[in-house]
Amino acid sequence: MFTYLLALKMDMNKQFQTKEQLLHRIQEGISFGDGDEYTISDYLKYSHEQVKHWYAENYARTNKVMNPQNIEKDYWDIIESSDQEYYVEYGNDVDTHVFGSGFPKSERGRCLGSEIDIDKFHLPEPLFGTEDYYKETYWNPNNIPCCDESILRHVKVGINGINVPWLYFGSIFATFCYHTEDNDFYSFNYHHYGMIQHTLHFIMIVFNSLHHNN
Amino acid sequence: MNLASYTGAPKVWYGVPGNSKDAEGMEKVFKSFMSTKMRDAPELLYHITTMFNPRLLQAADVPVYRIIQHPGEFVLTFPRAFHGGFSLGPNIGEAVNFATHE
Repeated sequence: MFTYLLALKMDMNKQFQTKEQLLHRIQEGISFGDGDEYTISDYLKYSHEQVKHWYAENYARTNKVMNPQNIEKDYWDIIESSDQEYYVEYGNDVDTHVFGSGFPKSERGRCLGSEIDIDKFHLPEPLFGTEDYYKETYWNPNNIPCCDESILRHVKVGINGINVPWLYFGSIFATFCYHTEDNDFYSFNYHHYGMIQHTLHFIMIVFNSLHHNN
Repeated sequence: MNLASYTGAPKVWYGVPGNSKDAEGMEKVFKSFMSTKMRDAPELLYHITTMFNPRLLQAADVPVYRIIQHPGEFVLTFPRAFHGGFSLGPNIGEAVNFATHE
C-alpha cells in the first residue's frame, strides 16, 4: 500500500552542494564552509560509508549496541569534548524543482504550477493509500502551503524552501541547528523511506506483479 | 535495526514550545551561552549554525521535548518554536512552510 511513497522520482545524476559541519566546534556557531558536491546516489554512498566507519571504529570491538540512545550519546560526546575532530557533509536546502520532490504532483491544481487534469478534477477525494491520495492530500508538502487555511496560498510565485519544498540529505551526526521558521511560519517536515533505486525497482516489480495477479 | 545498511535512519529532534515565555527563555539561554561570540555577530541566532546540549535549557527551566522521527512520519513545528536535531544515519527529508490566519 505504501509502495508509492517509496518511489522517489528524483534526478539521481545532478549534483548538489553540501555544507561541511565541524561537529567538534558546532557549539561556537561558526559558519559552515562548502563540502563536496554529490549526486543523490553518491551522497547515499557517502552517508552509508560514514555510518559503517563509525560502527567499525566505536562499536565493532565492544559489547555496545549501535542504537539511537548510544548514537545520541556519541553525538554529544563529540560536541562537548574537544578530544576528537568530526567533520560531516550535510545536503541541506536542495531544491525540489531541480531534483524533484519525493511526492507525486497534484493533478487538481493543489500545488504551485501543477497541471489540472479535467477528468480528475471533479472526482471524490482519493482513497488513503492510493497513488492519487499522495498526489492530492494536503499533507503532501507540495500542497500544504496552498491548503484552504494557509495564507501562503495567495503567494503565486514559488519561493524555494517557503512554498516549494526543499530536500535534506542527512548522514550520521549531520545537524539541523536550533532555529525558528522565518516570518512566524509553521513548518512541515517529512522523513522519506529513501530506498535506493535498485531496491525500489524491485519493490515496484513485486508490487505490480502482485497487483496484476489479483 | 542495522543502521549500516539502511537508508531512512531516524532523526532526533529537540524542540521548545512557541509561547513567548518559553521562546524568550530559549533566546536567553542562547545569548548567555554565546555571550562573547554575540558581540561580533548579534544576529547569530539567525545564522542557524549553533548547537548546544538541551540540558542547558532544562537547567534554566526552559521546557524542551525530544522526539525520534522515523521514515513515513512528519513533524510539524509551530511559529516561534525553536527546534534542532541531527540524523542517526543516511536519510532523506523534505520540508516546506505554511501559515494560518492567526
